[in-house]
Amino acid sequence: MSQEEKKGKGLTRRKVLRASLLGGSGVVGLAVLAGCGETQIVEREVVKVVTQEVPVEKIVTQIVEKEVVVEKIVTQIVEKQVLVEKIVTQIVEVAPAKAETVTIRWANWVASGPRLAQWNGLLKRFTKEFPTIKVQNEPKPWPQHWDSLAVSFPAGNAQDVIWFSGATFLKFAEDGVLLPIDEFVKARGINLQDFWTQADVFDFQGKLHGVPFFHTVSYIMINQRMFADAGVEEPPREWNAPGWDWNDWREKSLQLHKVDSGGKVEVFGTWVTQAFENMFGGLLVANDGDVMNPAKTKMTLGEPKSRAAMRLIYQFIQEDKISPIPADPSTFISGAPDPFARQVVAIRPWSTSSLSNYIAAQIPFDTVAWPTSPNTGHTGATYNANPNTVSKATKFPDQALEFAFWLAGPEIQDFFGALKSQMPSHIATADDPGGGWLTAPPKSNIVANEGQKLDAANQMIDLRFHKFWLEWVVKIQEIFEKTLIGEQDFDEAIDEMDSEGQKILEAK
Amino acid sequence: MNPMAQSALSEPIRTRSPRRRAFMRNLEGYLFAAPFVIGFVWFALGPFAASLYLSFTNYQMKAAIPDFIGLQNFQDMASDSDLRRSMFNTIYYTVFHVPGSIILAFAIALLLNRKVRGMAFYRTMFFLPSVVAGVATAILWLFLLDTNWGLVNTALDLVGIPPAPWLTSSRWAMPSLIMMSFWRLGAPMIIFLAALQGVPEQLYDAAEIDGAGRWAKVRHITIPQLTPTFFLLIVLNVIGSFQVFTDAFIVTNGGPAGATLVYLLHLYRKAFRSFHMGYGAAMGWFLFLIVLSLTMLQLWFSRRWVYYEAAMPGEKTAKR
Repeated sequence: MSQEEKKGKGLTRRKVLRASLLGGSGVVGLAVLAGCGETQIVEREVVKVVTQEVPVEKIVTQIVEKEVVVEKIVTQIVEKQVLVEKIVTQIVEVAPAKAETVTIRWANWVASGPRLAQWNGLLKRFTKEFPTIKVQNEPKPWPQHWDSLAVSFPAGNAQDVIWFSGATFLKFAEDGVLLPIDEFVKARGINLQDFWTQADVFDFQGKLHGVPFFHTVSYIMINQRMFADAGVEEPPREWNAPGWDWNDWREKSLQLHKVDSGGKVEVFGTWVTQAFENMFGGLLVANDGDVMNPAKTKMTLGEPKSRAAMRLIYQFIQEDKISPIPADPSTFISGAPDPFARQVVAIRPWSTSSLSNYIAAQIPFDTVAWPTSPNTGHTGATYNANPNTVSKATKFPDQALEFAFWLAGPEIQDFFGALKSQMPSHIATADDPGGGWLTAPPKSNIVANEGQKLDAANQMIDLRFHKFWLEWVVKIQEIFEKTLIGEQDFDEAIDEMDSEGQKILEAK
Repeated sequence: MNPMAQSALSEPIRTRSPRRRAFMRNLEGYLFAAPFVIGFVWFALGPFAASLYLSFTNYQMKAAIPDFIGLQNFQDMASDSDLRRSMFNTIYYTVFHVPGSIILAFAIALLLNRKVRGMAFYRTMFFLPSVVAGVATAILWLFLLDTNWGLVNTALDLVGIPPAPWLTSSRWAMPSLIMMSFWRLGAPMIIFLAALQGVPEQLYDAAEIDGAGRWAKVRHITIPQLTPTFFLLIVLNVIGSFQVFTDAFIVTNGGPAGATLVYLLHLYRKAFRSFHMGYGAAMGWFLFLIVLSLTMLQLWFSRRWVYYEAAMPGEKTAKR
């Protein structure tokens, strides 16, 4: 390469001047464009101008070392850029910002069935009331909901509003991905005392994270047609009513159980399972038993009161043989109708989560209170408070909270109450759901398995607030299942539940 | 010399370096391969390397960088009783699923290789279950195997056999899953069918002249000729069996009492339910090492029984 060629490839004063002028013209051009556009466009252009300033500065650094003259030109350019900013400011002041429509995303696990249609209806109502907030429903079935959150939170792509469960709340709260909402609640003057103790449930390190939605409460559901056919009197609807204890439950179940001439079951008298929630948790409370001591250091399933409550379930399945075996997949598989929906079960203790399906399937059913323990004379029930939370990464916290609190508001709570498909979180609505159906269980009999600060004597410890609750509950249920399918002695299984549960408590 | 030619000669000759020339020549190839290479690096190699790193950490799906804990996850695996049980269940499944599915697929392929009317219809019918979604198949089997109202028990009842607790007893649950796995024989069956059509007819003709019967021809001609196909399917099936998940997840959810808790289901629960992602990654790598070892073992062992018509370059012709 000749000397001229080498020189031609180097940085000359002329080239620098040309580049600087070009850059300056570009900036001015952008400013002119910005001035001609709408307010929104102008705001975007401001960002561009500032970004483009960087390469110019780089050139300055290179040039200053060689040519002092260039500095002046660059100074001029910078001055022009300041001018651009001034223009923009003026425009913003003159043209007030238009109300933007914001889209927020809502994650939940109601991905199919009648509840999905109901919820989509709710979203339409919300959009009517808040035309500038569009809610995009992003439901997934229960397992995928958690798989998705486990990945989307670290990736920074979680939905704005997320329906949560106490089973996993602590893990995510500890990760710091959920938005504390105390300030919003204070600013809006929202009185959390209007809601069913839920505010306490989703406190994390003294800060509120959850917005009440509705409660999943355990009930007994009865098939009224089967009761009528068998001439069996229906149980009372009132909690703690006389004439409805565990012995009555067993007696009625035996009367309702039907077997054909070939020994094949036509109707199961009742349907109990190995589940802690909605099943033996309530029985333990009714019998003044517990799963562990208040300090959460020692399992207590092996103690006589607890053991007696657990035995009732074993008795139904293995001794009386009037309940489906809990391992029967048709009793839990997602999407398949369960035995109560197929009308082959007369009495089903479970939770409000199934009610929509039974209503939609037009099952002739009603809900009744849990029977009392003959040993204590009172009932026990579990409930789960599954609130909405807001992602810390949301760009629209106000809109997200607006939506979450709208769901907790009287209009929607009344909607749930009238539908009788959920137990509202709003106390006034929950206590009077518009009929004698789904009467809220007395607080004194509720299993406080999520840390509710209930003032009752029969309060169960806040297990679901334990970080490894899920691991613990899966393990003890799996062992209980072993005895319920007849493959382990009952007492041995209870002892094993205690020892394995203890291991998890100690390991964590 | 004319002026144009002279001018051309006077210009300096621009030459590209050999490396650049080779690059330009191969550019199209690189461009065509780029989507795959980028996809492979981004979606396979990257996560592969990331999971190796995570297996040495206590990652719990937090955005923060996890702590490096060395071999702790692998040490914890040694004392995980559920892991041992899941490994036992997976081996149980593999031991029965692999030979069962290969023998059945081979038998069906033999039947479908015959020259009878409507063969295309039969072939389609046998292949159809393979294209039905795994979840749908699982639910279908659930209704078939229901203890009280299932069709299988109803059929057994008709012939006087007492109902079996297919999915509600820890003794029967795994055999039920294995039975369900035979439903999806379409893929190995098609591979066998293709291989069967590659067996030279003259071998059968010669055997017939020698007086060989139908069974003798299958035993002495078909099976030896198909040993590379058997080998391929065994390798693929063993790998697939160690990754069994869908049926155990959907139909039995690992139950009853953990009888169908297979390795991947345990891994899934640990990683995505208990959020022990580092532990899950370690379990994944342990599984990879097991599958790799088994594949290497089969590869080595195949020299003793797999017959190739032509020897591979540098190899001796395999003996039977």
